[in-house]
Amino acid sequence: MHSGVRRLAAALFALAVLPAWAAAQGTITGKVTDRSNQQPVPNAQVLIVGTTRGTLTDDQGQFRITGVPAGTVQLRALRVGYASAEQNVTVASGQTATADFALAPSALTLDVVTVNAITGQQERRREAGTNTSLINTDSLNLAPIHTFADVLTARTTGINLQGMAGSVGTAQRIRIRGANSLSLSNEPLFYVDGVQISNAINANSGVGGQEVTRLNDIAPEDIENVEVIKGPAATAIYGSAGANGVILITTKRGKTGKARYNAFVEYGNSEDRNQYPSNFFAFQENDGGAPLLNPSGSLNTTARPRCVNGGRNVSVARGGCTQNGVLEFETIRDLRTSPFSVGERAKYGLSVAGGGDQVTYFLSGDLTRESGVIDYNTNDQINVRANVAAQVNDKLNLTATMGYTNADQVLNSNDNNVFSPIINGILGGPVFFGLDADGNPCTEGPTCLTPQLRNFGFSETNENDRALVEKFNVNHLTLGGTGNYQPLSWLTLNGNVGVDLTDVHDQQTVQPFATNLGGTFFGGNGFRDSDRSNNFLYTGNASATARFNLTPEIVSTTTGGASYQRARFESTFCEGTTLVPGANTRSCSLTSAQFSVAEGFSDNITVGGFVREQVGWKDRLFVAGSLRGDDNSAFGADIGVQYYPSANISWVLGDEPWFPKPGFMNDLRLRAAWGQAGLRPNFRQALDFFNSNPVVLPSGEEAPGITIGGSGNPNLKAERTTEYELGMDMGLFNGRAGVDFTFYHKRSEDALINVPLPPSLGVAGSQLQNLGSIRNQGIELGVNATPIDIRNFTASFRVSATTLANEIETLGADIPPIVINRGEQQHRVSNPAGAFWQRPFTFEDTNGDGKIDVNEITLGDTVVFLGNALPGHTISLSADFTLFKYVSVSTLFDERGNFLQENGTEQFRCQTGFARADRGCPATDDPNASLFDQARFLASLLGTQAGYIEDADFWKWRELSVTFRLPPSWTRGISALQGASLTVAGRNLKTWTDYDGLDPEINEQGASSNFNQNEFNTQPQVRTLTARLNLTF
Amino acid sequence: MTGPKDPLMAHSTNRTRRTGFAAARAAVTGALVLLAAAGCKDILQVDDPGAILPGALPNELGARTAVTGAIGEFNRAYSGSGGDAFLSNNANFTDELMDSETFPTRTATDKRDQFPFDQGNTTDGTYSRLHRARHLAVIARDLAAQFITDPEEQSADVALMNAIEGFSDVALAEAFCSGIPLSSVDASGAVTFGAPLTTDQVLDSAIVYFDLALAAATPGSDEANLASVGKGRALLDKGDVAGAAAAVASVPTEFVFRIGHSDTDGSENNPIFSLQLNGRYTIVADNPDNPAANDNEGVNGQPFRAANDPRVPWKDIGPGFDASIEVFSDELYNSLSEPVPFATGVEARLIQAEAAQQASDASWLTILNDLRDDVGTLMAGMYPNYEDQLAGSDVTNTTLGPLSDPGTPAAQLDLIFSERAFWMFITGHRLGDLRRLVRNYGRAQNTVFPDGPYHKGGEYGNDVAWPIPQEEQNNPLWVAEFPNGCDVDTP
Repeated sequence: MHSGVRRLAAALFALAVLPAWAAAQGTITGKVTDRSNQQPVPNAQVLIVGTTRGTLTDDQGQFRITGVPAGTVQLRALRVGYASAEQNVTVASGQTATADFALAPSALTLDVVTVNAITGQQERRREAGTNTSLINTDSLNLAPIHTFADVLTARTTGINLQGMAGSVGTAQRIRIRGANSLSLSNEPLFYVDGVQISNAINANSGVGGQEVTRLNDIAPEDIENVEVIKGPAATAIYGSAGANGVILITTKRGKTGKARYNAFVEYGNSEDRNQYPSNFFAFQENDGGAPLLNPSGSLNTTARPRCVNGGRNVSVARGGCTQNGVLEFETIRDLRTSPFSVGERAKYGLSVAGGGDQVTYFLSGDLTRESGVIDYNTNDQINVRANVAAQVNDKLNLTATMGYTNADQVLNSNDNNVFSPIINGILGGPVFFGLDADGNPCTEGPTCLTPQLRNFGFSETNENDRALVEKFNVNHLTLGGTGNYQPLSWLTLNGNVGVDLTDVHDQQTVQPFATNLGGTFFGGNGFRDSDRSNNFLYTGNASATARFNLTPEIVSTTTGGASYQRARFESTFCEGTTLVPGANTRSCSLTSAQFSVAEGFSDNITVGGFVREQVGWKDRLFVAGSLRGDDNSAFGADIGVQYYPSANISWVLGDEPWFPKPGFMNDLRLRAAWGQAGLRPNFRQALDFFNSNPVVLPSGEEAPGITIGGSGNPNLKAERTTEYELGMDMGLFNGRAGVDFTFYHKRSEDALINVPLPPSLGVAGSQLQNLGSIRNQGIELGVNATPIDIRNFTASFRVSATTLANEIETLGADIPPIVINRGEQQHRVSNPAGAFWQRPFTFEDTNGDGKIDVNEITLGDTVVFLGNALPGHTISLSADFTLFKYVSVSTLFDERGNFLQENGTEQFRCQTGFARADRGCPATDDPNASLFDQARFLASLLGTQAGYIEDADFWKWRELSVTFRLPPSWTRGISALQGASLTVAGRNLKTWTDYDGLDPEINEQGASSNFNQNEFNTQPQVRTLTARLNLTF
Repeated sequence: MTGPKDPLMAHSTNRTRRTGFAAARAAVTGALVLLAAAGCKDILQVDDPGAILPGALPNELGARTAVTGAIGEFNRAYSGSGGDAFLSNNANFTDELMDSETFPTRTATDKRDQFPFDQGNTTDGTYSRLHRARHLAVIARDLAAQFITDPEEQSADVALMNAIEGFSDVALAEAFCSGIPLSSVDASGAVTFGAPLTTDQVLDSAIVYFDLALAAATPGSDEANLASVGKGRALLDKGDVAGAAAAVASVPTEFVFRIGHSDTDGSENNPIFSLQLNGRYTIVADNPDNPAANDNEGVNGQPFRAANDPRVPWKDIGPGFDASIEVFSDELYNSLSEPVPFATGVEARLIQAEAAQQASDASWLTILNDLRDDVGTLMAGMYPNYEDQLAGSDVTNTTLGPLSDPGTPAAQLDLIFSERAFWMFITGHRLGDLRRLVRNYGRAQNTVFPDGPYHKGGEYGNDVAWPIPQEEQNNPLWVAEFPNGCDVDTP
């Protein structure tokens, strides 16, 4: 460590422990209750205004704050769902003062406090001019929530999760207020207790599409709340990485008092309840007496030939043959060929929270064992968390947090992979190709149980698919430390350091002769690959905040500080074939052919400085401005510090005595904010460099050679997104309803465009240049209401709605449209990013024969805009009902609209089936296929996929849970038991959509695709049912 | 607002705003300086052990690495790249191989009905990699000329790099549509965009480089023979058959220059084996939609399977990747590391035979029959594992009988092209030959390329060349002439 830093640390420590500071202290205790029913309010924040001191109430609503300086302090109690309350408390030295609060329920909460991950400052919502969302997990029923993604899905405005497949452990795409960048990731930043964590996906070997994510290492049970900070107007202080928004996760803390244990047991199952298409085979009956199968087990296509000579249904249109019969079989659903079973999920957890006057703690651990509807898609995971907070003295508090996950995950092949069980089923045969007990071909009968290879699309049986899985062994550790030191009444020093370490071992092993894969794949000799990677993410922030009362009514808060982030990645990959038969080895070193090894590396450092000034007037009008400057190791050599300013204003108009509030309104706030944040380029993107490649010389010898690596841009700088937002919050009907409304407008300038370089230059394929601009704008509307709150029945509702209009304003001069997703989506100026573009087609059954031929299809000359890839609007509806205090019912519905998705599953199925002699899809082989279905398939052969790019609007019934809490009288005999509840819950219960594919919400490339929206044999979402028992001791 | 603005007021307000912002900037910058001072001087310095910076090359070792790199880049472009190389696309586009898998772009290539240039094709990568080979060859040649001290090694490397540049140009000219630009980037990074060149102009560029190679190479050396075969191939493409024959006259029949392959790195794998391993391509298979083409892809194709010819040892390896047709593999490439004989003395003799036939010199038949008479030896010279490959195949003939003169010049030419097809089966020559038949000998494209009903439905298209990819539109000289892409229907 640098000597200067050491001296600074020593000085701070000495100041912290000076005993003189600890003199003349007292204690405050009290209870927080609900004014409407006098019930205790747990997890309410109780804070000493103007300090960093505070605590949370326990389950009985009680709190205790020790080490309070003698004198009069202002105490504030607040909780989401209630209006805050304040009172002055006089504390005598060595004495205990009592302060009770009776909070009035309020659907609009302006005083909820969160902690800024960069400045370390506590911020009240009323002080911010931006619309941030806070998700409190204690208001959620956790039974239908299995992952962190479930916590975020459909809870609030502005955030949209897409591409969530039904495979266990897979990742999702997260967008806040649209997509800012065409070339860089549009994923937000994530912080846990002030430490930035990686949301990088891991799919080094690849299973075809979906990947695992480390975000789901955060157990929902450990989360206190999640704050969604939506755009640069609020994230400017996060600098060169904040443009996509920030998600702050705060985990639970201990509370002063005796140890309180919470235990839960959860068990559930999952089922694939989706509709899968049948496989068809239309034939001409030439010999009705002939058996269906040949002696070899194949279809007897001599007796029953398929229409050929240019097509199937289409050849009928040409008079090529007559369809006398149709075979139809559901490979995916038939028990003899189905890859599906009922998935199981069990989770067990225990936590303890408590502490004394100086030290509080929260410790938790949970164990999850889960298998998906593909039974070898599994996740065995252990999470451990330890959070310790110490009030060293009345000036200094320290917090240490630790989260650790160990996971063993197995992903089956999926999406674009011939070992995907779904692709093998969807392309399966039109009849059960079976073998009876004697090995004779058969299609039905009690002994016709053994499937032949030809049942499966790529002749890969469920057993073969099972052999090609990818295993992930994960160790994920997040360590953080935070200190708040208040040496003077007006000065607070904040600091936090942390590191997020992810160690992933990603591997595949296929043992020799383990399957019938031999011959073509892997030569039957076995295969092994192994990728060990380490991701290090370091966070460090230090700041000083000075708070002055400029006048009795005006408070100035000035913050200055510095910030450091580093993202370092290392990996070592090896692969080889030909393992020792029977030895069950799983090591590259024991492969004996086709061995190769590679190392990966990247490193990126950001240093930043920031200042922020906020002026508050009468605690109702707040004006703030900030400036952050960043330098980054990936900026071009010619680029210096990048600055990101922001300004915002919040006016609680309802607190103005002169404001004429109508009778139905009890609170009103107006707010406005403007700010800029960036997206930094990645490692090496500013550099010219070569890679090394082994070369086989004409002599046959191998030697190292160079190959073109990158063509860097020395002027590369961060993308800059400017956002303004305007909004208001209203409390209505005596706090029974709250409304928040926001208009946002974002514009990314200097957007990094991956400019294709003319290949004739012979250099790299593209170069990032700061050329483009992209606009996102829309409105966010949230409505909370508790219209019924009577003695034995309470009903609450929440509606969240968001609109998004995304448009590429410029791409740079002479940059042609950027084509993605196999040519079906494009980035085009004056159109939404990644929108679908295809040549249109029309069709008409001119001869009225019920069949479409290619000459009945008219193809447009040029591609036209078809629609958005990102939803243009989202709506979520939730409702909570409580009956007789002990029974509660919660439900959640989720809508996405105004977007398209490619039904690549059906397009590929028809294209592949068309080429085969013994199977097809409805468009090719179902005599009753609609004209549109026939036409869209033939149009796809003519070069447009427009017919398979479908309206993907949907409503989903996400969650339903019913909880029964045991009345205290039932547990009176069990002295240790403080509470118990039993919940039964379901997730993904129903989908309403016109989309024709498997699921309008899934995506071939999971989270890794920035814009691609293509369902391609992806595992659709599954229905889960869960029972959960919670016990409190 | 009405009335004149107060310039002083405007200035003051602006200055105040700027002063406030400047103060904030100064504070932020100060914090950054303090942070840097508290840590270390180079706080933003990151290590990069995995990249080679251009400054590492200007020395003798760097020059050798660059030469090796250029060879590797050409290897990948011509015959590697995980499958989609010049060689494999060439075979798929012509009658050498049929597509038996599911990638739409490969099917479109096989069907000669490629996607529009702005939607991407499997040949796009080939175009880029051939240009990269050109670019690296120039870098390596200049480094070799400057830093390699041994005169013999230096001349061989300079010759080889010029030959690689020449063969890259030949491959571009043979496969891609007319209008190919040859842009360049010099050592300082300065860009010179190339104007679109006709096929003949690109071949002229190749001939210039082959002449440079011949000037640098020791006569009789492998590099000299390589450049001679390259020059002959370029002249043949241009229609200068006599010039081509003269260029290759000194090349011994047993000369073989191979592209090496490795079974480790995927981009260095033999692309044909790499794809046939998964059943993605097949030598002529049955066409259920066109039984007349069961032995000849698209009717016009050569009967590579039915001929039972020891120059094309094939084997039935079961259903293809898409399970639609049976796959018959090319046993000459039966491992990932099998080399490709891409310039040979056999090719030199075949060029001479064609020149003789065009000159009505009866020796053309003698040349062909001499080669056939020595098929075992010549094949073993080209393919190191030939004997095992043939023995492991389903082909039973081990020798070739003599050919007889079919009588007419057209039939004689057909015979010569057929012999070229068998001798140079899947060596990257077939597309150039088919285009030559159309361009130089006036045949109709639908009489030489696969034609009629396609085995996956529909009909073969009319494409005879590969499109220059959309990315080339970033070359202002190219896009000015080809805003809608080049013409792939013209040979």
